[in-house]
Amino acid sequence: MKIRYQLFALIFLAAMFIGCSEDGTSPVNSTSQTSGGSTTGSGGSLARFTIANDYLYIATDHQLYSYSLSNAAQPEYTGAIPLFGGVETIFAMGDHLFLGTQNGVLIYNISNAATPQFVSNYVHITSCDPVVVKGVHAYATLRTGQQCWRGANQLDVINISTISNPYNEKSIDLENPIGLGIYQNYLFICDNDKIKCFDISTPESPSYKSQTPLLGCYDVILKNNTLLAVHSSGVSQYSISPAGVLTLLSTIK
Amino acid sequence: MKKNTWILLLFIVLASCTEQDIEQIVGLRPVYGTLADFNAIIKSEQPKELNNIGKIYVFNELLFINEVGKGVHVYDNTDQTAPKPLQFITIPGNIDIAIKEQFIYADLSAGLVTIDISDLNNINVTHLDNRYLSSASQQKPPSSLTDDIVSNRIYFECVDQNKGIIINWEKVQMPKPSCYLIN
Repeated sequence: MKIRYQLFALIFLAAMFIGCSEDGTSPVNSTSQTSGGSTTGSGGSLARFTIANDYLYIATDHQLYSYSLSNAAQPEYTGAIPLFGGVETIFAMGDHLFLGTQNGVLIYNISNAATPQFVSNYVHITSCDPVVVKGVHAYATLRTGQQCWRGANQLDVINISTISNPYNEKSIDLENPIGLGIYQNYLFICDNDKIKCFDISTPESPSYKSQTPLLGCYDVILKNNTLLAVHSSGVSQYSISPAGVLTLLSTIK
Repeated sequence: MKKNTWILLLFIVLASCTEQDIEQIVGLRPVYGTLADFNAIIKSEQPKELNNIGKIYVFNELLFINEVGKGVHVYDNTDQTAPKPLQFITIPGNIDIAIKEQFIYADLSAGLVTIDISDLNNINVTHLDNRYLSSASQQKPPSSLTDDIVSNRIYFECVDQNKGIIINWEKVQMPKPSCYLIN
């Protein structure tokens, strides 16, 4: 009887612990929610600044800087590591940083936030490319441009299920893509004066859905069920229908 | 004899004219200062027209639009059908920002600045870090200021590091300097 009681107590304790650890699982995305809104904001896919795990990371062409934000008013410099390949963009997801470079995507682990550790490098032909991530897939646009005239114009779907060994799962031809962003099962890409919408419910195989003309569109931010697009003459905001169709809400010029 | 003297004089005058006549061009001149000078420069102002915009950033109901190399436009985006301009924050050399709580982290020509925006009408620089002072920005004008120049050579006044940190660059008429970038 006594043994059974102890066993019962053990099970009860174990259940409590499981409950606790589930509570303790923090959202993987960098924008943590509090009752008063998010504590950090979000930039577009072309950003060189990102906040993750309470650190600010800055990607310059040749360096990755880290600053601790434990005292938000006084960021504390915690180091810089050399980067190669002409880094242009940074994207944080969970414990990883994805750096878009002119030669591919560099992946760093930030479980030790002060000193990012190199994990792997996805290499493609020289192009300009931002990158975004959902689940075990990274989506990078490659484009030709002033600094990357040798490049291709395409979307690369990169399988990162083994983070140390990213590989190309599919490439889709585009016109001259730049910034991109994900909302639920939709991937939106600024491509040659249009916002193109791809369905990524089958993540490894994006299927083209529709497009919205937007002159000089170069980056997007997804916020709830709206899309903010920055273009050569201002910022346009759209609502996103369940089918991924954009309806213009306003334009700041 | 007298005639010859006049001709000689004329020659001297002409020769000195050509020597002084150094070509005037529009070039970039470094503005030197100390980190403390940024406290006076970084301020919020009345909203401005969008001109040469860069990246955007969203923080809850606020929308930030970068004005390349100059600062950020701040909008109240509570009603996305009618965003309202609130302020323009002057941050020389700015391209990127990120925000945590009430603090903006922004790059600028001389490093990384932290700005408390809890009161948008009275913003306050709380920190400046010049370890993120890219050595390149202290030797030549940043591309954010040269992208719109179409000539083959972008002239700038040669940098004298003894004069202090470069906190900004200004476009001015100047005698053609010996320093230039190939565009």
